[in-house]
Amino acid sequence: MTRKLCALVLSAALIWTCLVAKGLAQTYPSRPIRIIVPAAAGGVQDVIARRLTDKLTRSLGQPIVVDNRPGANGFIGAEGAARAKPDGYTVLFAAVNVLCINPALFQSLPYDPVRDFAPITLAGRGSPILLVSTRLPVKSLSEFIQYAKARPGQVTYGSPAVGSPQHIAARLLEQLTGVEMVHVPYKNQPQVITDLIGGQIDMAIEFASVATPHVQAGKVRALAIVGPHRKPVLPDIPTAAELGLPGFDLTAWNGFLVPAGTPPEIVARLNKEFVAALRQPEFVAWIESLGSEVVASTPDEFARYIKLELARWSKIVKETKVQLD
Amino acid sequence: MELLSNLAQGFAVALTAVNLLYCLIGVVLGTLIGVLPGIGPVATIAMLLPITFNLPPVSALIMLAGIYYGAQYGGSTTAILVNLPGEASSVVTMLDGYQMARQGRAGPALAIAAIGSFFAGCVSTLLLAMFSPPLAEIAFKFGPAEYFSLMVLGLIAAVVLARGSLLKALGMIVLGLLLGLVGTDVNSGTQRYVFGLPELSDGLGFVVVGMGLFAFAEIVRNLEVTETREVFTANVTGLMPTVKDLKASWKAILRGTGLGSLLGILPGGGAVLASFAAYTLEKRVAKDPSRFGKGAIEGVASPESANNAAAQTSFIPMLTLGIPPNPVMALMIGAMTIQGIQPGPQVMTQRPDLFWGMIASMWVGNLLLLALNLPLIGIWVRLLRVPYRLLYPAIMLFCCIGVYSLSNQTMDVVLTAAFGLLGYLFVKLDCEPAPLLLGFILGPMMEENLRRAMLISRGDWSVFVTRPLSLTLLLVAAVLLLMIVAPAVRKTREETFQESAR
Repeated sequence: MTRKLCALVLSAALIWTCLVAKGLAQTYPSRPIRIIVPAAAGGVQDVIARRLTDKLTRSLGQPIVVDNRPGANGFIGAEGAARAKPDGYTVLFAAVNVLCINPALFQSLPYDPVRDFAPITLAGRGSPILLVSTRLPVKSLSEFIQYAKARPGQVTYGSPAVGSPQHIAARLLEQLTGVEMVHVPYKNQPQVITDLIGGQIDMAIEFASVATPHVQAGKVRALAIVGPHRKPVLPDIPTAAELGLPGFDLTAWNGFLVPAGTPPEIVARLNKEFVAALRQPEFVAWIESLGSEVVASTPDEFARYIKLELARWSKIVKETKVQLD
Repeated sequence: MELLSNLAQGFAVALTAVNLLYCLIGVVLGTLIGVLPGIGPVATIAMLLPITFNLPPVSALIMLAGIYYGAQYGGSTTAILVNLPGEASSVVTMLDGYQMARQGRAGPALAIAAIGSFFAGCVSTLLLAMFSPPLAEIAFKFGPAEYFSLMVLGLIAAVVLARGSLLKALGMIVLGLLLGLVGTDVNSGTQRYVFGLPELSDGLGFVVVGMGLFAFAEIVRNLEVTETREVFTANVTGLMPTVKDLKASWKAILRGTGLGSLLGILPGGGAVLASFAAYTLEKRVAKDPSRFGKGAIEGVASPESANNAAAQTSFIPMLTLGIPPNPVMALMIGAMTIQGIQPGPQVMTQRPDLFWGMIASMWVGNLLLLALNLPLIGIWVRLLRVPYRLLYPAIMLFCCIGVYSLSNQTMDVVLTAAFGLLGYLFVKLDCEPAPLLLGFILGPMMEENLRRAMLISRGDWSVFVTRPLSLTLLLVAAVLLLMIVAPAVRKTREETFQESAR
């Protein structure tokens, strides 16, 4: 009897130890993971994060919650992530504006893009498209530049905000070609597209996800891709470099990060699962249909990329004299 | 006859068992969040986005659409019964709806809101089916100059909204304009009245101000009076509107539907502005404006029709062009994108099942909502018997959840509380917060569009009168202003404004 009990206790203890050992190796993640999106729900960035949660929930075995923290140029979301516990349960999905443009635009930031975060992986990259109103009598980039040169201070362009990549891109065009245009700031991308279609403004530089359907429907005219590659969704639109303006390149990107100090094995695990989710063939095809491309990377590659981009954007912002205030 | 075959295709999609089910889920959810103050369609749809990913696209969009227009039905319920707006677009419904409830006519008020909404829903769905592409073009005719002139008209009309002293009304409008200044200046990126708080850098939220001034203030105000509701629950006279009620409101429903349909198409317009505009118009055309604010049934019928019509027609730019005129439509665009459907002009031709299926589902949804809401009236009226000490903490809780869910910030809840105190002060000073809210909506849009128009015209002020649409709007505004200030109509104005405050 005692023997039997002894064996029972022993085997129970054995099973318990096994379970604990197994558990320790697999304790992360043991509760839901939240992805902070420093943008409003329904936007392209939000939609990308949400589309990934499906696969990530399966591969990480825990619910993935998208937490929208819009506002203040992404300050609120980025600061929230920077201050979160570095335990792998808070992930930031940041774009180039939060990580590399804000540091160039603002004298004081509530977060440090390099010191406060540990990169997981790059996610996507896309270049904007230079669009003009169909009312303008120009059919190509060189015609547009000529048209604008002949009318200094008369051609208008819209952007979704002062200091947005779209605004900086237009300033870069001015700087590269010596044309002088009038900036008309809006509050969001749909407003810009609406007024461009309606012919209220002459030009806008917008991303493919917003612009493609209107280009295809002939409501606006696309003159050039402001980046290194043509887009499969708009194969006929040449790049600015092909048109003899190689410096006119303003590719934007986004990626996933965790708060600095997150254990390296957790960063490695997140990198593995996020990269796998990003590389799903249907996800890659979907991103391409939006006019962007998937660029999954290692944490180190992403960290180096951020540093390079910080230098590049601070140079562009300085040269184009985009200023807040 | 293409329309008929298109509609037939649409109904074939909308009437499949699975889509009917999702439509029902959508409108029930919508009614529910409409009734709950503070919790709006934006937060609800955002929460449901990940779920829709696993649904067929048409079913997902049918459900999300149902939530939006369902919320317009439900929003009037608490506005009428307890003087708390369930939805931002039902703020003006409170003015007369609550007075009707106090007179024991909560039933007819709720019923006319549902009937008006149903009628507006049917008409605007038909508009959507027949004239979507030409109507969508209206959005392009409205440039910054036109918007500015429209806002001028709106601001002058805001005075009509006022009860009591004209001076106080003007003061409230100006205060609303000033509150609208908070945030980042669009043109320069300069922070105005932000006090170093990042939460304020995008300005004060409309729901924050509205819920504070109306819902929180009403709850605080009720703390000082002992429960006297038995007075108006005891003599509830019938749940359905009488023939006299219907006679009084059918024109208001028509006008509300028309105005709402038009304002829904315009970006930045939408359900909130539509309900304000409809109420103002109704008071302006009424033979006896003094009845307004004292339980005039037109004051419920018109804005409720308008907000539902606007909710429906705001789908036009979204479905035909892929351009979202308001945050809810931006989410619908997101829902489409997540499904791999590129929102844009090609949706109509490439995915006719989706386009016509959604339109047909809206009609089905409106029918479901009417069938759902009319029998519910009896239950809602019984809700009035729930003691305040149970009802109010519950409402307060939902308000806080709703406000927090706007952008997941505790700061918003704190701000709402602050506006609650301000609202209580206004009650004590006998100032109506409705004109303030209108000033708050119109002010920032007016400033932005003025500066945009001036940038585009390169400083030439004549742009406001050389563009025909803008000129027309300004002329209407001038006529309205004359009617308000001219001594000849002074007497009518006195009647309009010198009503005893409640």
